[in-house]
Amino acid sequence: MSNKSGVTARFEALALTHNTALYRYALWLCGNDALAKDLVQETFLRAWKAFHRLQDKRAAKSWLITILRREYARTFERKVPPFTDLEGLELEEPSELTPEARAERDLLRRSIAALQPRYREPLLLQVVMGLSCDEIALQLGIGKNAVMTQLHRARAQLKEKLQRDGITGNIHELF
Amino acid sequence: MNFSEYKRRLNAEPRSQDPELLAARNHDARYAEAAAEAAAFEHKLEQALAVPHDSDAFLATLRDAMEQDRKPGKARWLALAASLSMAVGLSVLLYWNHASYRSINHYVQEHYAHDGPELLARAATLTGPMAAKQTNEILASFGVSANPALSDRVRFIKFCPSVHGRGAHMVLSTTEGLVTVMYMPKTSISKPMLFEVDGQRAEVVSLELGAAAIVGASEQAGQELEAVLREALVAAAASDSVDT
Repeated sequence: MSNKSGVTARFEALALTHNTALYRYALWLCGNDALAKDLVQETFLRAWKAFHRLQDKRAAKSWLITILRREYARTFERKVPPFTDLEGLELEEPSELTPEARAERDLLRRSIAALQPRYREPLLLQVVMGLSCDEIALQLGIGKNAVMTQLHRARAQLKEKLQRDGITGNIHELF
Repeated sequence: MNFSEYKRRLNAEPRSQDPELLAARNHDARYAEAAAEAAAFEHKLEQALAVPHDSDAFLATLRDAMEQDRKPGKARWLALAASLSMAVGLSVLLYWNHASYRSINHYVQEHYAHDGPELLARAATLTGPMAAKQTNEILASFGVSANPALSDRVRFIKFCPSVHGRGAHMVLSTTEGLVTVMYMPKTSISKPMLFEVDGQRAEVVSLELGAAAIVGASEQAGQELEAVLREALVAAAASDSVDT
């Protein structure tokens, strides 16, 4: 295998490993399927151009997240579009879910979409991207304690919403 | 660690393997119950966030985009892109307000201002049509199939936002040069529209599935392209049956 094709193969392996998580992260960040795909593609194209600078492959995930966040910030610097598109997504419906479980999941999705970005983003970095609190703190440029507070509040809000409007509450409003 | 602090830690790091948290869980049934509840909620959260993604299609599109980047002419494209960057940078701010398009006209204006000139410049550096495979994959995702009369003209294609969900941004070759086409598969119009975009003629035509905006073509080239689009962008099954 030539050096060039070896580099390409390594990059493609990187893309294979991370593209789904990055897409989900981008989607929940911007709330629009097409824009999320654009963001992730642009992220990988920028990463490809700078791949030779990635010395430590263990840092690849954080590196990709950094590129995506920068791209997102550059694009949305002054005008953040409303988070509106998730309702239109054809989301997977695992057959094992009962109607109640699906309704609860949909309610949870709407509640995640309604979280303030400062609570939603650390949650995404943790749950979707699998970052530790220390890594999230580095990404967001805030302290670890602040990250933990935001994560706690994010989950507390989601749980409260589920308890208030979930299967013990206003489930019929979902249909 | 008191119970309140324990629950707070669980809410922040439910998957944590911190020995202190594990010891607390194993020491007291109340703590163990809270840990089980947290794990159950986390499972629901992970399921909710796991929106579907076609990784294979994405990687195929990425490979093609990487391939385009490698071809000769990249430097020329970069130079052209740099010269356009200021216009694009300004227009992007308007473009992303996609959720509030007032009309199809508004969408086409803002979409073209966002990356129309940049993609034309990129397409101009390419020597031939885009790989038919990529064109077909993108169009197939909308339930339409491209015939060779269209795919042979496609110098560039990518997914893009449209007025109603996802669409495709294409640069097509005509006898008069390159022309931008924005395909809106879920948009229907009752009659053709004609207006100006960035000083160029733009028309929106109705297709069997959706509508398309043709930007930068003369009336004659526009009619020529409209015929090609009408012929090509038909429901995949209908197209297959014609072929067989």
